[in-house]
Amino acid sequence: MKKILLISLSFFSIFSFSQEKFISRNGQIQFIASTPLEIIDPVNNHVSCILDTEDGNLVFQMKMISFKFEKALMEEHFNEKYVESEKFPKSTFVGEIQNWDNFSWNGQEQKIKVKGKITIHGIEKEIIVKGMIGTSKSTISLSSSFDIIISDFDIEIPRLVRDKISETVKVEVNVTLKKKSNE
Amino acid sequence: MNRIIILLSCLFLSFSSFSQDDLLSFLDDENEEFLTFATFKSTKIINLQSVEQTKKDELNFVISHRFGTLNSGIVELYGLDYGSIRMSFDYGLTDDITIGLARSSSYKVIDASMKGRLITQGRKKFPFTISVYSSVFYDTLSPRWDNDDLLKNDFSFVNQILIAKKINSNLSIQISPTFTYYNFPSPYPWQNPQTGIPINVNKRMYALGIGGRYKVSRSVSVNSEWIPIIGSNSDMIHPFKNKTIINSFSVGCDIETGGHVFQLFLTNSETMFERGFINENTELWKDGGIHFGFNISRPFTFN
Repeated sequence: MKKILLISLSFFSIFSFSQEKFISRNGQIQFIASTPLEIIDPVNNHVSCILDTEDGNLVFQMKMISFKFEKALMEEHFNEKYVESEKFPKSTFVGEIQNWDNFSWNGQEQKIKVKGKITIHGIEKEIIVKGMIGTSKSTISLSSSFDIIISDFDIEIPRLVRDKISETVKVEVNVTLKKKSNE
Repeated sequence: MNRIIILLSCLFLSFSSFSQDDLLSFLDDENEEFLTFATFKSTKIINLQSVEQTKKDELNFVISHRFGTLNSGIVELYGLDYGSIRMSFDYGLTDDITIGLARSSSYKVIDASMKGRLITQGRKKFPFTISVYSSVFYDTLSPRWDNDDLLKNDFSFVNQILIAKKINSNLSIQISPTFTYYNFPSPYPWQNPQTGIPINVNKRMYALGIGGRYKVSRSVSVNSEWIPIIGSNSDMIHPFKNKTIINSFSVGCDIETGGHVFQLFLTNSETMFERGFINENTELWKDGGIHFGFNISRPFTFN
């Protein structure tokens, strides 16, 4: 009897949790490291993201190998030589939307600030980025654009191609989250 | 009762600590696959085809040279006076299917080829990448059949299975069981049409290519390959004891720059097409019959 109570309790807790999570597995992140010599603007269309509407906690995760470049050789070099996708297959962001308690669900696009830790190439860094949040009946959309510096993440660009790759990389994020279904 | 309290408190604890990092684990997918990439830097190990493909809508232009042998002395500047050339164009129909057309100056051979990848290492945790490679050779010189000059006599074929494993990010190995078929009519052995050197081949030849690479830095790898002949018609051939057929051995390095891969190496095979460098070698390493050679590949993208 006690056991049943416990189990049902635990189920209940999980159940009540999942109702407050919004998730996506096909968010989009593009980064732009173009220079006058070379256009570098790959897109990753398989970004996972989850938002806990209870407390505003926000997490992103993506496979680096899912970035699609215009030139296949560039894609291979990116994965093999720069971000070392075999050693560090995933990049993550773990953080929270600030002032979440004051958030009002009024359907308008609103400015947000997100603070957290971004991990690329195995290097963790604290960042604060500005973005926008929009809500509809069943979805939440998030977008942001911010700059990161390659050398902050211990990614070394060989001297030979240094003129072709921008040291500051613009990152553009677009995700549409759906309410996580209770499976 | 105590136990229940502990359990409950554990539950609540987990409840409350169920925060950002746990959210992260929500996103993990158990069936996630990490396909191996960049097993080799180039579509060739040295002479042998590697499991690397020309990417979709890309034209890979490879220009290859083999100089003369090192033992030809100072008069020939150790082989540098002489050079044979191969130009090849490979086009990626998809990321897994490549078609190619090439021409080699030695033997005056034109060849058409196809390489297809069957499975990539990492797919459903499969431990190898497996590809197949087929090529057909047309000997435009065809002087050896004086009395019987049928077109079909000028063709020969090579079929290979390429099995590669990227052991870690630096070390990759590959084995390539190879079958060669000559449409040439008897008599066998025949002679090299340019040099007159007898070549001990039969209609059906079997070989086992073995190759590998080790990355010594981000942009440089050391490569080597050995291709023992293991069968001739229905006869087995011992790779070390045979005295009639010379096996190909090559050692060299890959140097990668922004858009090119340079492969520089030493080899006892002068020919650059599969049938030739596998079966028709006439020089020995121990006699200094070593050619310096290079391949330069440059991809062009069509989108």
